[in-house]
Amino acid sequence: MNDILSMLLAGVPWTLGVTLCAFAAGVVLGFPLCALRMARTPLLAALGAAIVMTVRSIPPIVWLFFIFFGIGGGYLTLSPFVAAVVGLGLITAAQMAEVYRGAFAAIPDGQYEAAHVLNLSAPQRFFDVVLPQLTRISIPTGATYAIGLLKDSAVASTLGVSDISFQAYQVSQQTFQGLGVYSAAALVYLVLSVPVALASRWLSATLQRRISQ
Amino acid sequence: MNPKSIALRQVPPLAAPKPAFLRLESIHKQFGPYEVLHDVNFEMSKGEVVAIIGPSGSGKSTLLRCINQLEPPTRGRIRLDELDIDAAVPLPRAELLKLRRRIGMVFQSFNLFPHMTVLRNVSLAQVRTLGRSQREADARSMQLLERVGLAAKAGHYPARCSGGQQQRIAIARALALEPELMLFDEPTSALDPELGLEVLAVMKELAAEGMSMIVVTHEMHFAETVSDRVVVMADGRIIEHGPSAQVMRQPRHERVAKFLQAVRDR
Amino acid sequence: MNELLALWAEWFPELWKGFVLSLQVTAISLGLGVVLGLLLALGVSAKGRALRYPSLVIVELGRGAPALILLQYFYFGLPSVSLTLSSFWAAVLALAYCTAAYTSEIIRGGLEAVARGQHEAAEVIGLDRVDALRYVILPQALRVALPSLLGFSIMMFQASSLCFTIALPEIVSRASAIGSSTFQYMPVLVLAGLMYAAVCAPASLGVAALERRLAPGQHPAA
Repeated sequence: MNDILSMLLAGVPWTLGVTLCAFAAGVVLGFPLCALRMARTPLLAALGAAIVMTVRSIPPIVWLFFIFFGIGGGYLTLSPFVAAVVGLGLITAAQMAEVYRGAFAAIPDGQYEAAHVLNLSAPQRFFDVVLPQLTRISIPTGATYAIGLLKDSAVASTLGVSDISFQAYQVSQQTFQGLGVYSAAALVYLVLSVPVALASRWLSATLQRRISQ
Repeated sequence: MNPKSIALRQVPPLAAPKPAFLRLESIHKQFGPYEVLHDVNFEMSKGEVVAIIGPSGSGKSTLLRCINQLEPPTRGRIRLDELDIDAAVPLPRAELLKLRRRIGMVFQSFNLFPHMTVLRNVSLAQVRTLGRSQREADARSMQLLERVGLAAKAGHYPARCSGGQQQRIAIARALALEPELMLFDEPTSALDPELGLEVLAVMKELAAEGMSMIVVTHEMHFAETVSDRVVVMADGRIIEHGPSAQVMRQPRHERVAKFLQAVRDR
Repeated sequence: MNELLALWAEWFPELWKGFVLSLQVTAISLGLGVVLGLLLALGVSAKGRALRYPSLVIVELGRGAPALILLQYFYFGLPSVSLTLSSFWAAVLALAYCTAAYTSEIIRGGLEAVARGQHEAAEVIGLDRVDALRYVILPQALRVALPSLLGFSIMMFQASSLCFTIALPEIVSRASAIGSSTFQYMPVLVLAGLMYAAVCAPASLGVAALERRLAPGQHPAA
């Protein structure tokens, strides 16, 4: 059993790598996408909505295959890891764009008015007033999504990334102990999600204290 | 022994010459560390209308809810005719159902079932609890709705009815099981005064027809004119009780007098 | 462009078979899963520990394990204890379990949203617990849970694409087969993507519209 476990754990860095990189990419790219979605020009807003809708209506595995085999096949060469990160990052960006949109609506109007009255410039308004509140409001939903992403990252194994799922498959084929292997793999994912949940709660509480309501 | 409790036990209520129909003996109710009802004793005869009044937090609603076991008392006994319920003995499901069939309840917030028509609200219990056929239940429900003046609303959903209408439907629903005793928990507190009047009118008719009723209320006019007896509660105890005219006009206890004064001044 | 459309026309019937298979797997999994989810929701809300703890464990395992792992567990894992399932049934059972775990939380939220007064009203008119649930509580709980349940169904349909890894001949596996034989991955995957989008996008918009109708006046949440 120890061998199985150590082989599975060898996949953990890859799982975490894909998850963290895709999440980071998505968190950052979610902003311009959200800006597009909330643009005042109807054409741009429609484009943003179309992009978000399309990205979310197609399963992750199809995106990954499209990027790895489709784009990666002819035009560029991409490693499985990069393809997975790009695909999952794209989907995360679409999700986060919606989270930000909801968070924007949740910031009380008084905040924008106060910022104007204080004569803050537009970048100042955004970075000092809006962004901190946006972050604070987005954290719970973002954390839930991050935990989901941790599980979705398993799809990277289909491209050959040596993550937990990939290792589980290899080990089960070699040892014919499929039941034990996959049970152990499920537990590894479960255990990994706990720190994320705790971190999100800690982060929420810290930001709550630092930024007065 | 508390002199007040001796007075309560030794002086039989004037309006109860017949043997007691409902009897509450030494009812105590505790929620965790809080004692909400302390040694409450109460009797009423069939056909009596009793109003329970008192300041908020006095335990009036809790007492009502103890009677039909929505909140079983922590200690004490409840007797309804031959049904004898001791808090110390767990109540079998069958006995509880018997009790629920004999006692109807009307809530402050009506609690009609929003996803059913008014007619179905009134018929459901008849079909499921009494085992009547749907046709029989619907016919009886229409009779009850006519009695409360709302036959026209039978096919509507509760959301389309005003608060006063909803409460009258709730009364019809409670009457559907043909109970012997009706409990009213602040039936008009959530209603505008004009809407409350329609509900009080129905309750007055019910009383005139001889229904046994216990009404927790802030409507002092109702307490004085419609009820036979008034019970005043404070801090989880009955501090005064007697014929309504006497309690409302010439209360024996100063605290009751003060309470009535404060309510009338509002 | 004409070339592309010609290729798509050629491949469409093949992909369509996989599409129908995905729909079948999803439909059966949802049917089984929601019923199980309801039972688990009641189990998790139960007062007795004997019922509550096992239900909690079942739900948390189902929610914490990636769908891919669940699929491979049923298809590659069970044979190691001499239980071999076809890829179709392994897919159905795995996705049904996943559905049950997630929908139990959705339904539990719906159950908790039903006002206390409704339980009391049902009690005082003499309805027993089963009747109260059946006629009063559940109808209201499911109305609340409906948009989330529908949204989850759309996600489940997308998750059926993972059945590629357990040799189910659904869209992705057929698209991949066409791609590897013709080396035209891009066009065939675009077609596959469009087929998914054609179902999921209108469905999502429909659910959003339903949500707005059932609970008007709430700001857009993620």
